[in-house]
Amino acid sequence: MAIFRLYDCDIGVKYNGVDYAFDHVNEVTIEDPERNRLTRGANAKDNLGLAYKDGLKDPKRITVPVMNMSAAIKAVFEQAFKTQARLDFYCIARSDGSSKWGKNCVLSNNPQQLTLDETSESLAVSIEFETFELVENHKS
Amino acid sequence: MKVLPLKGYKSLGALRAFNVLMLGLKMLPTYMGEDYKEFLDRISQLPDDDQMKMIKEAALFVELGKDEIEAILSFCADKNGAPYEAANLKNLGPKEITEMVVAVCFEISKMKINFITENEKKKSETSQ
Repeated sequence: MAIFRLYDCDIGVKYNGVDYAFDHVNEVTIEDPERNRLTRGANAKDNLGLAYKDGLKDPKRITVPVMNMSAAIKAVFEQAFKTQARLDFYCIARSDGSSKWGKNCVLSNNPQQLTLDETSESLAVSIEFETFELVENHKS
Repeated sequence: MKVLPLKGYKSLGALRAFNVLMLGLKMLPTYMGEDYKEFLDRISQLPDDDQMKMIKEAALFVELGKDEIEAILSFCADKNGAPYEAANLKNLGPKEITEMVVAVCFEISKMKINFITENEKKKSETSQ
């Protein structure tokens, strides 16, 4: 199956040789702007059209709200944001080892708590990654 | 291996974990014949290298609970300067964990925490 189920996944970040595993993740959102597009002359003579690619200069974006992040680890990510350090994001299926990697990411936002209210969302620190190298490996 | 300052409530947890290690070590057949107090005194008088060997022996043979290991490792920092906690210690191997346990416990062993003060100890020794 080419499907990752969140309840089956280990999610985390490798930064400077250290693995930071996130125990409490509610969602992982991925935006990939790369598109195959079709065009043709306005005279509409050809139904096959001309294929071209769009969005190649824009990075893929991964957003992960991480709950219960400690201040020390948040400080590590803040430092990585300031220095535009490179990190690897991973999501690995525990059942078969299938994985999704965002390699050589930068943090596109300063990690911070975006909501302060009575809901569980206020426990999350949002981390956003940008990468050009999003890799998936499926084992089954 | 850099050990962070032994401060905060976790330092008490680390101290207890150190005592678990020492008591466990004393219970090994090699040291079972010794009195616990004498055993600790003897270790404290050993050169640093020998003390570290004893602590390493304890770390290798005595079972610690998850909370005790976390309490000790919280006084070591990873390459990025973050103290170890559940999130960043999952991929550590036994060698790295043992090295950190030894480093932190060695620092703890330098702390003089006893039920009696050094003065009281000297007085009791001179009165005997």
